[in-house]
Amino acid sequence: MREYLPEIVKCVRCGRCRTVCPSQQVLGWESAGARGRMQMALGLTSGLEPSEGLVRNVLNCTTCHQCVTACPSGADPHRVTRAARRKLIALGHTQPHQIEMQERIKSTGNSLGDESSRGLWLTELPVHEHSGYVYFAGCLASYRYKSTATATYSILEKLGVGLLEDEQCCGSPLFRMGLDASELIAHNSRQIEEAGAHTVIVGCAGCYSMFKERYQGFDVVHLCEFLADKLDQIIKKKLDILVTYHDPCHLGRAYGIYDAPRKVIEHICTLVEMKASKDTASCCGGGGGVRLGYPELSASITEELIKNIPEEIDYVVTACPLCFRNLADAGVRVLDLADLVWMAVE
Amino acid sequence: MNLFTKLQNIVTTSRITNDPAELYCYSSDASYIRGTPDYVVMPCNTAEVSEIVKLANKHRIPLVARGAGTGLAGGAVPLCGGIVLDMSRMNKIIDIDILDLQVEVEPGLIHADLNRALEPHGFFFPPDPGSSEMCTLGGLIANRGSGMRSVKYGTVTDYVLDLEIVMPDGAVIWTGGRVMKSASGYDLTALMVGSEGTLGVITRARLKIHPLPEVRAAVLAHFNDQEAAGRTVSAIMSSGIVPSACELMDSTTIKAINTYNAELGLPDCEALLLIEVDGAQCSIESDAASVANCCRELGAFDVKIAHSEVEMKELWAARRLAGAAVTRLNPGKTRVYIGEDVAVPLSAIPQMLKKIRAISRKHDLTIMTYGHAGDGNLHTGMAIDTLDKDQWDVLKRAADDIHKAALELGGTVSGEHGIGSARGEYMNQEHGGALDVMIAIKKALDPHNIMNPQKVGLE
Repeated sequence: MREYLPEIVKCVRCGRCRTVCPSQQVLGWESAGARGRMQMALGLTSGLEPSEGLVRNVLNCTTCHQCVTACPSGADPHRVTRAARRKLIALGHTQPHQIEMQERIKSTGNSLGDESSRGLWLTELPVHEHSGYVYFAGCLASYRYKSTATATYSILEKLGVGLLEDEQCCGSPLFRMGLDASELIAHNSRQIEEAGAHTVIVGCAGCYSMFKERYQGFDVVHLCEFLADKLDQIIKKKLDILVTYHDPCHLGRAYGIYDAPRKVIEHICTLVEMKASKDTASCCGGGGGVRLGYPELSASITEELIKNIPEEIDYVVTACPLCFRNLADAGVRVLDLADLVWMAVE
Repeated sequence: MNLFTKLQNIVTTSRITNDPAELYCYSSDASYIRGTPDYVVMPCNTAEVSEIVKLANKHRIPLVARGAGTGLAGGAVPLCGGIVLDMSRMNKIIDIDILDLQVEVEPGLIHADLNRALEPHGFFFPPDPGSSEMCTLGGLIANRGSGMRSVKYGTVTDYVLDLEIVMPDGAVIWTGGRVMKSASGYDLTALMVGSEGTLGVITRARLKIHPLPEVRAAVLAHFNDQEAAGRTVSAIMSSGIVPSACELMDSTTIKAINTYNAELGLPDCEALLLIEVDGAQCSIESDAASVANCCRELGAFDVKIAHSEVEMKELWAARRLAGAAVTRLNPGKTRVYIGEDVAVPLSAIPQMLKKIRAISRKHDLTIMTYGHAGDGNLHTGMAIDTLDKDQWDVLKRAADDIHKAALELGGTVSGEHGIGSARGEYMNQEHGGALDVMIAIKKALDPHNIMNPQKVGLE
């Protein structure tokens, strides 16, 4: 951890992150927030023992980037927290939910541990020769939201987008939890290279940030970016519905993709913004391994997000299946952006 | 039964910790002071606080109340171990009483949340600290804080009508009342405001509120000479117009703000005065024009008036975080809050600015200067490589010089951040015999010295 000291001491402990950190808002403790994690990381560099509380609080960060955006002194608690997670694993403090994720991916190649074929969503669809673009469906769309994967590729295949021969988990769940994702990165990179693709299109914010951060040699775009300048070509009808948009943390705050999803939505139907949106958008509570490791905390963070949803809307639209899942589990009427587009194409 | 179990019986298992890493997170505030507690407890109501205090008093255990830990002088740092009361969960607004112009709140309420709740009623709570988005009202009251609008609206002292206090023996008292004024007995409210948790724990507060002004305007005046800017402050304040804020920023502060929010694009100059006027629509134009003329007459080379609500909000948001934003100027250096809160008489501002520049040269240390010049409160900001011990030594010597310079000019070592343990050594020089009276009060009310020991220079 000592190599992170210059980053850690950038924190002037002003406390600005206290009121934006979703875990701290729910749990209350100083240790459950970004400033606390920076302090614990500092402690790890100077002999603080990894207690049960340290491990739990380093792991209950959803990696939402709220602290990074809010920090006046330019510190990056998100990066430091990830380093602390790696350190704890190196010290032998890997937690049961981390081991479970590792084993799921090792045995099945997907984050859900689903032993069925990854391509079941594809059965009725033709696969064309691609023109340099490939669709990377991701684990959740492939196994839990097959209709979303089908809808996405139904739109994309007409635009000359291909598929990988053997897609596996992008590695984001491992990487966010501080675990080693290098084998998955190597596998998918080989697949992309063998396909001869120059651009990967994803429908998941987690996959998007993973490709951006950890892969090299090709471009990655989110579905909303890819479709934003093709809307006149693909959208066949307007929908008489009122929606709001939930900015996924790993697409919005992490990469500033705010306009493209809104452009797509506004081409199709009426958009009403949440009380907090774009760089102040609330986290869904699902990321960073929190849904798996700390489900009660995850659900409580979702409840906080729900308070932001305008009452009059028909659906919450989002561009990440993990956000979709957390919102849907909390009883919210939610649509993936791809499903919204498909409704306007059919 | 051990103490942990006894505390657990008061607040339930989920609201107490003695986990070493969790305690470590409570070992500092935003200052450089450190001290680790033995337990952190998160009470939810006055009865729980009272029970905890009784227990601490019985066993002579130090007890430190903490809001958001945004203090800049170590006030909430447990120097002697013991119990930290994390008050952040006592954060409700109990009552908004528009007819009587007051609210009742719990101490853990975030300052900005109160103003967000008051805005629909057309009211606000005027003390306006830079840490508005994160500090709690309990901490603000306990440190006699204020902020950018104190120049017109006063400090938090002027807004506290009544406090519910858990005294060092666990007794619960109310110090004031619902009335706007009272000549009844000792002013215990004033005694508690600014006592930094050394006399009791604030568990409720009844605060005066103020109607929002109809309109605000900001004058930005640029100077090539810091002292001319200092003289201008004095001239504005005696001109008959009372600005609602009068902020001074030097060139380093301007750079820091521009780095934090490049869209503001403040021009590069030696000193910038940001003067806000507020009031009725019919008078705002002439007030802003008078202030602008005053700035021009005293040497401002460029003066602008901003009316846009969005522009003003952005300006103030950036100004609020200028202190921490200085860290962005040099990636290898971090802002340390030390010697950062002196205040001097208005006429002494130009001299104080001159002295700060001399101290900067003497120690070869960049010192940014900004602050609420309208009430003589100057914040100085110094950034060092915090991993370099030698730089710490230089920093501490420079801070000592700044404190002594302010005292020589008839000023104070703290305008609004409090004494904590960072400035205790100057209390005797600043207060003389009055410090003995403070010590006597402390001994009378807290004979076992359990309430935030080793703070405010009382020991």
